[in-house]
Amino acid sequence: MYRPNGLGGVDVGSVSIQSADITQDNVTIQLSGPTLAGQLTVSATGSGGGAPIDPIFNGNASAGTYSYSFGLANIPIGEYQQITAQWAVGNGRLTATFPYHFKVLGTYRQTRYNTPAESSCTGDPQGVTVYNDSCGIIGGTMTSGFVSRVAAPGSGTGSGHSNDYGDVKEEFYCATGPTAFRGFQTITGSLGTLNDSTVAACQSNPDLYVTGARVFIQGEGVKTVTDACPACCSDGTHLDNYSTSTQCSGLASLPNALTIRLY
Amino acid sequence: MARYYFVAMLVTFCAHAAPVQVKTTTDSWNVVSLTLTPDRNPAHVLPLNEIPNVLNATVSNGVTQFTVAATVRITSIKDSFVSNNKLVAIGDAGDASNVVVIDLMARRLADWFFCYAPKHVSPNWIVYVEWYQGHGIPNPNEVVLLYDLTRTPEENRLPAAGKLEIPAPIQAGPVVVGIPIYPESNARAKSYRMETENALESELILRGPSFLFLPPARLVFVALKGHDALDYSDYLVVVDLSRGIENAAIQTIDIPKDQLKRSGANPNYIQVAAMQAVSTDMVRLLVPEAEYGVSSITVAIP
Repeated sequence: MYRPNGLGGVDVGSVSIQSADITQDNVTIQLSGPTLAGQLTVSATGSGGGAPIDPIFNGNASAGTYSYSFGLANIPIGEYQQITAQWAVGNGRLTATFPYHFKVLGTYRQTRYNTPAESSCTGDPQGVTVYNDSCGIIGGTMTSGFVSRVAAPGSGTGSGHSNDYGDVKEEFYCATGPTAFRGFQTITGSLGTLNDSTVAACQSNPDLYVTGARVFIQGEGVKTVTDACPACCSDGTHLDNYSTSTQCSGLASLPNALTIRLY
Repeated sequence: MARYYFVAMLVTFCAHAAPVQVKTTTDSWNVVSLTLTPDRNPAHVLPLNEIPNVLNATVSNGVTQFTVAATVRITSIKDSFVSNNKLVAIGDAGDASNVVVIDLMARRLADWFFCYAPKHVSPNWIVYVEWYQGHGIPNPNEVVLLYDLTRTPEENRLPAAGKLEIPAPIQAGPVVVGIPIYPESNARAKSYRMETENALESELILRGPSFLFLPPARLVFVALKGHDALDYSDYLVVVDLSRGIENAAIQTIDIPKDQLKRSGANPNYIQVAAMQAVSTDMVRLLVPEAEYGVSSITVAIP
């Protein structure tokens, strides 16, 4: 229960922030006091009410429960720590704060990668070198389209489901080159498992390359950072979204999207 | 030439809020135009039916003007310059960067390769991070390579590069090109190996500050170690090449945290956004003011 300033402790109304969820683009405010009406200001702010400031709502309101949008189309980039609601009624001001931590990173490019199946690739047999975990050579030959899809600089996935050597990764320890692979591997990200709700981020990104970091990608939902993406470092605002599709090619990028780190 | 280049860089830093690359050449060639157009030649179709580009470069030395064309993997050009009668184009190619070297005397493609973060650091040197496929690599150990335009393409390869044709066929993916100058283990062993089995040795090169050249022949960049951004620690690396590319002398320098007003989320991981030369023996590191309470710090370079 909140009391307007200077009203002598008489309970005349209250303002409360019942919930805030940027992934649902919703802030729920409850105003009580049957006869009260006044200017309501709702904002998301940084620590202590400082910058950045996202003006969620500013207008007249009477008692009731309201849902407001964060206004994602115009939300300023920055780290937010709290939601504040102020309701000016009579000669006083009712205030409520709600701790809520997120960081708006801006619009990110959203590419996709996967682990293709050799059986879905076309091409002629191509000579490759497949190593085991002891750097012993165990093969072999792979379909040329599969070799390119996994190992080509600029467009390779780095891993694939081969026909003869189980799951393979491109090899960088025993040998280096676009025809070197390691067979019978477990396909995983550098920070965790891979699925349709995981992404790869630039390793030097202090906000994103954190074990278990969750991001809200507008239009896609909440995903977890579980892999590294060196290519994402060149433009800085880039995530690579994992897909469990095993298609060999044609995995289109997702639309560029507002990306928000959740805490 | 190196000193001239550095003075030119300092002048540029003073004249502009943000540093821009100075075009300095050792030749009299002027690049009249540089364009990319799709290469529809069926013989040049890439794996998975992707289409390469034709790079058309028109150059002039005041006496002669000609156009040279080459099929390339670059999809957009970010930088270009002429040095030692070689035209160099640096750009993007999918998720990687790509460097193309054209021999203007022979009027043909001389070399090309994929990499990360290439930078034209001095009249004759291009420095970059060896390309690797980063997905799922638990312990990458990024290798800094140097391409010397005074050398032939063959001289810019270690024996470990194998016998891949030079220039590589357009369908190929050349990545082991250049002379390793960092880490020290790669420089000494003349190795392109960029993965380690020891997680504690895993090291990354920070892309934002890129590479900075200080005369007479020092290269400065920021590297980091750690599992993820919560436990990273970063530091400056100085590679002195004054005794030759094959004899890199390497030092690491702590980033002075006493110049920061706030320590940041991870006190050991200073988010260096850019790096500028203050003098031949000092660099300025630009950092996010919102994070640290200051916008830059300076570091003396030995």
